[in-house]
Amino acid sequence: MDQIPQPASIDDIENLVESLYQPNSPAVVSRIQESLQRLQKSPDGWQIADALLARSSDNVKFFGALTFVVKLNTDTIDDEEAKLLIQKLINWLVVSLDNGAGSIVIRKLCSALVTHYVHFSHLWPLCIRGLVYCLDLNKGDVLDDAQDAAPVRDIFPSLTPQKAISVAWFAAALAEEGEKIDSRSSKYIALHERLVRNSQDVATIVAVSLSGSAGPRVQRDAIDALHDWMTYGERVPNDQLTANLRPLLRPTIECLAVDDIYEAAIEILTDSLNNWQNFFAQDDYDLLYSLFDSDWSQKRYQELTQGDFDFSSVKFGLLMIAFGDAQITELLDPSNERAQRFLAGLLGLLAAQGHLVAEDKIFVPALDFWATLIESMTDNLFSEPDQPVNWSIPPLSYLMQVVSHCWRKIQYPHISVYNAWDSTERVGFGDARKDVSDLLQTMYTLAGESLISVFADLTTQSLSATSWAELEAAAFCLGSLSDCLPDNDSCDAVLSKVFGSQLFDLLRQGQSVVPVRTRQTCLSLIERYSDYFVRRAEFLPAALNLLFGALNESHLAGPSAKSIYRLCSSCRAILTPEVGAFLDQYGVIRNSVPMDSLTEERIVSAIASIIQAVPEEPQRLGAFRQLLVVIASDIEKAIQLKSMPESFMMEPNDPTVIQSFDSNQRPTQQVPGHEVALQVAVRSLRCLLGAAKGLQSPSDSPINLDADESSMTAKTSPELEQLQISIMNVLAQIKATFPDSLQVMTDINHVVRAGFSETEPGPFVFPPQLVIDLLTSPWHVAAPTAVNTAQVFLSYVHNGNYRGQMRQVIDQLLPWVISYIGMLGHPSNDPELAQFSIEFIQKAIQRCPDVLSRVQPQSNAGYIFTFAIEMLNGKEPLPKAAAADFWTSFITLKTDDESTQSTITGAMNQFGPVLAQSLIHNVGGNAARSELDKLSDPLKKLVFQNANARQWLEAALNDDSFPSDKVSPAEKALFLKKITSLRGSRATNQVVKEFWVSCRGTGLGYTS
Amino acid sequence: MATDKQSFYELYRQSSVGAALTDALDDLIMETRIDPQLAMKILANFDRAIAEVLQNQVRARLSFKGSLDTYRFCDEVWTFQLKNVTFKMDSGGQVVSADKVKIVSCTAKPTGT
Repeated sequence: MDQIPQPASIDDIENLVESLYQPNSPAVVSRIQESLQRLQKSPDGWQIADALLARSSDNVKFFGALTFVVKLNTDTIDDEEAKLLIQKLINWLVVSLDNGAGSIVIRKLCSALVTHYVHFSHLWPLCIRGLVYCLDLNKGDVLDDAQDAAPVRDIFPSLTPQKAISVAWFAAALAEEGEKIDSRSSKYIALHERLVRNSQDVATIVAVSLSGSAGPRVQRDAIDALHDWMTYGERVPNDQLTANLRPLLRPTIECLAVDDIYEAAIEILTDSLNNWQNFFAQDDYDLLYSLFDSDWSQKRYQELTQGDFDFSSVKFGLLMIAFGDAQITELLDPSNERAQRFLAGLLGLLAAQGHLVAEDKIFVPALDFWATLIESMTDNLFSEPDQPVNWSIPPLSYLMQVVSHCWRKIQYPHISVYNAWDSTERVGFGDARKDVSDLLQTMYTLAGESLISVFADLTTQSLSATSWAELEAAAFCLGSLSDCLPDNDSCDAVLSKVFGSQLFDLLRQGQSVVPVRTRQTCLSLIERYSDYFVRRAEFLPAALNLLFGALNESHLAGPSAKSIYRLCSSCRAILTPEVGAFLDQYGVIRNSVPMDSLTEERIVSAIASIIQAVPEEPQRLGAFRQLLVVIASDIEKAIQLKSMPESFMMEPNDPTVIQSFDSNQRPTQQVPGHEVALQVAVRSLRCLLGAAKGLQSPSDSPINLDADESSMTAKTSPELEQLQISIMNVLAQIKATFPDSLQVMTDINHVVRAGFSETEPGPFVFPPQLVIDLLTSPWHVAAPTAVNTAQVFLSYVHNGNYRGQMRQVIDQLLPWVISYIGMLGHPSNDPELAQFSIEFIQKAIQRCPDVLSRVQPQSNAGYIFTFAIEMLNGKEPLPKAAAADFWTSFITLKTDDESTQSTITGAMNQFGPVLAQSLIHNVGGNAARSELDKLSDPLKKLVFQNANARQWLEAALNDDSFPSDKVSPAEKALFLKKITSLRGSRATNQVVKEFWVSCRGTGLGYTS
Repeated sequence: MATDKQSFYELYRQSSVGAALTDALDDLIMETRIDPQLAMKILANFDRAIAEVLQNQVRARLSFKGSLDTYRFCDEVWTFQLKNVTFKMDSGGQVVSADKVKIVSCTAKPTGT
C-alpha cells in the first residue's frame, strides 16, 4: 500500500490532521495515522506540536497537545528543557482558554501537563498551586513564584469558571494517571508523595467550587475530580490524603439536593460506600441517615417505588442499597430505631411497581442486599447461639415480608406481556428468579421448615383460587428449597398438603385449564421431591400417571421424562413389582407418541433403573431382555434402511421418519433413507446408553470389599453371558454398518464405558475379552475415543474384579495402541490420539512393568520412547502434559523382577540423555509458563532417582542446541547446582520458573 | 493473595483461563509487541474483571451435599474439606460424586477496602 508523502509544511500537516476527521476508507485513515505518528516521533515533533497549537482549528490544536504527550513519553529531555516546557504548556492553556478553544483541546493540554508532571514532578512539586497561580496571572513563566504566592484558597475563587474547570480537569487527570502508576515501585515513591502533598490544594479547590458561587458546571467538574482523587486514595491508601479529602464528604452529600449536580454527587457517594466504607466517619453516616429521613429523600423514594425507573431514580435506590451495605451491623440491631426505619425502606425496594427486570431495575440489587443481610443474620445467630431470637420484631420480622415480595415479583406476567419482552429481558427475568431461589435457600438456614410451610400453604391457596401465576411462583419457590430439606420425614406432613391436594387432578386436565408454564413447574416439583415419594409411596401412582400422561404434550414431554427418570430411579425398589407395566407402557407410548431422542432415552433409563432393583436374577434379566428386544429391533431397522440403495427416499410422514427425528428437526420433504437409518441408529444407541446408565447401581449401594474375581465369575450366569454377547453383537453390527459416523462411534464407546463403574455383574459389565474384541476391531473414525476407552478400561480392570486378567488385557491392547502410534508418525498429526495413546501406555507400564520388554518387535518399544520425547518437544499442551506424566512414571518404575528392572535401567540409560535434553530445552524457554509445573515433575524424579541425571542435564545445558543465549554458563551451572541439591523437592518448581524467566529474557518476571 | 494496596486477589491467575492469558502475554512480550508493564496492567485488569464477572454475570448454579470433615479460617482464607460429596448441576445433568473435596474460599472483597 502506498505511503502518504511526508508533509513539507505546517499547512500540509494541518491539512493532513483535518483529513483524519473527514469520511475516509479505513485504509486511508490508517495511512494518515501512520504518517502523523511518524511526524510525532520525529525530532521535529516538539516544533510541530508548538506550531499546531497556534492554529485555529480545535482538531489541529488537539493534535498539537497530543504530540506533546507523545514526545514526553518517548523523548529524553533535561530539566532545563522540561522547565521551559511547563511554561510553554501553561501558556498554551492560558491562550486556549482565552481564545475559547473547545473542551477537547483544554482536556488534552491538561493531560499533557499531567504527563509532564509524572516525568518531572520534582520541577513543580505543588502543581495545583502552580497552575492556579499561573492561570490567575494569565502566564506560564511565573511558575517559580507560585511557592511564595498567596494560598490557593485566596487565589482560586478569583479564577473565571473556565479556568476553574480546567484546574478541576487537571486535578482529575492527575489522580487518574497517579492511580495507574505502581505505588510499590521505588521509582515512583517520590511521585506519590508529591501527589499526596497536592491533595491539600485539591481539597481546597473542590471545597471552594462546591460552595456554589461559580455555578453548577464548576461544581460538577469539582465533584468528578474529587471522585478521581477518592479512587486514587482507595487504591493508594495514605492517612494524610484521607484526612485532606474527608472534610469534602459533607458538602458533597449536601449537593445531592441540587438537581444540576445530583448525578455526579450520587455517583461518588455510592461508589465510596461500596468500595471505601472506612472513608466515612460516623458524622457522615449520621448526615446520610438524616438525608434519608428528609422530605427530599421521601419524594425520591416514592417515585422509585411507584415505578419511576429513570436513571436518576434508580441511582437513588442504589445509594440506599450501598448505604445499607455499609450499615449492615447497625441494621441488624433491633434496638436501633433509625436503622430499622431505614431497613423498612430497603424492604420496600423489593415491592416497587413494575415487572421484574423489564421495568423494575431496583429489585435485583435490593435482593442482593437482602441476601447479604440474611447471611449476616445467620452468622450472628450461630456465633451467639444464646441470644434470644424474636421473629416478631425487625429485622427478623421483615424477612417473611421479603419472602412475600419475592414470591409476588417472580410471578410470570400475562403471556402477551412476556412475549413482548426482548431476549435480554427474558433471560434477566429467569436469572432474577434464580437469585430469589438462592435467597430462599440462604433463608432456610434461619427460618427452617416454617419456610416450607409458607410455600406449601401458598401453593394450596393458589390452587384453590385457580390463580395460576401465583401457583407457578409458589411451586417454583417450594421446589428451590428441596435441596435444603433434611433426609428424613420431618417435612412430609407439610408436603403431603401439596401432593395430597387436588394438584395432580388439575394438572391432568391439560393446557386448556392450566397454562403450560405452571404445569412444567409443578411437574418439576415432583422430580425435586422424589425422595418424598420414596417415603410416601401412596402418592407415587398418581404422580407417575400424571407424568406419563404429560408425555403426549410436546411442551411437557422433556420435563416429564426427566421427572419420570428421577422418580423411578429414587423409588426403584418400590416399583419393581410394576416393571412389566412400565415395559408395556413404554411400548404403547413408542407406538402412539413421537418422542424426542432425549425423552425416550430418559424413559428407557427410568425403566432400566427399576429393572436394576428387581431382586431375582431370572426376572431381572427377563425384563431387561424385553427392553433390549425393543432397542435391538430399532437397530435392525437402521441396518435394513442402510442396506437400501443410496437413491432410496422416504416420505416425511413415514412413521419411521416421524419417530426417528426430534420434533424440531423433522423433515418436511422427502429424506434419503440412509439419513433416516443414521438417525434411527443414533437414537437406538442413545436408548441403549440410557439402559446402561439406568442399570448402574445407585451410588449409595453397599460394596463388598472382600469380593474377588472368582466371586464375579461365579455370579455371572449363562443367561447373563448370553445377554452380554447379544449387546456386544448389536454394538459390533452397528459399528460395521455405520463405520464413518463419528456420533455412532462415540456413542458405542459411551455404552461400553457405562459398565466400567460397576462392581456387580450386569448386562453392561462385560467380561474383558468382549471389550478387547470390540476395541481392537477397526475404527475408521473416533480412534482417539476408542484408545481413551481402552485406558479407562485398564483402570476398570485394575480396580475391579478382573484384576487377575490385567496382563492378558495389556498384551492384547498394547500392540493395538502401538499400531496407532506407528500410523501416526508424529504426535502433531493427531495430538488427541497421541495423548490418549501415551496415557494408555503409561497406565500399562504402571500395572505391568515388564510389558515393554515383551513388545514385539522390540524396536516398537524404542519407538514409544522416541514418540514420548517428540510429544515433550512439541507445542501441544495436553500431549506434552501426558508425555511429562509418562516420563515421571517411567523414571520411578520399580519391579522385583531383576530382568525387567535391568531392561528398565537399560532403556533409561539409552533415553536419559535425550529426555534430559528435552526437559532442559523446555525449561530453557521453549515451554509455556503454564507448562512448567508439569515439566518439573519428570525433572525432579530424574534428579532424585538417577545417578546420571547431573551429567545428562549438564550436557544438555551446555549443548549448542540450548534454546536461549540470555543465560551465561555460570547461570546454567548455578541452576544445575540448585536443582541437584534440592533433590527433587517442591522448591525445584520455583527454581525452574526463575531459570525459565532468565532464559526467556528480562521482562517475563512481571508475574509470579 | 491481595495486599492492602490491591483490591483484587491474584488467585484466578492459576485458573486455566488465567494461565492461558499469561502464556499469551509472555508470547507478546517475547515478540516485543507489548512491554511487561502493560502485561502487568492486563493481569491486574484480569484480576478485577474475573472477580466481577464471576460475581455478577455467571448464572450457572451448582449445589452439593457432603459431610464436613475439617475446616479452618486462617489469614482471611476459609478451607473446608468435605467427604462423600455429590454435586448437582443447574442444567439437571447427571449427579457427580467425589470421595473428597477441598474448598478454599476468600472474602469477595479483600480487607482494607
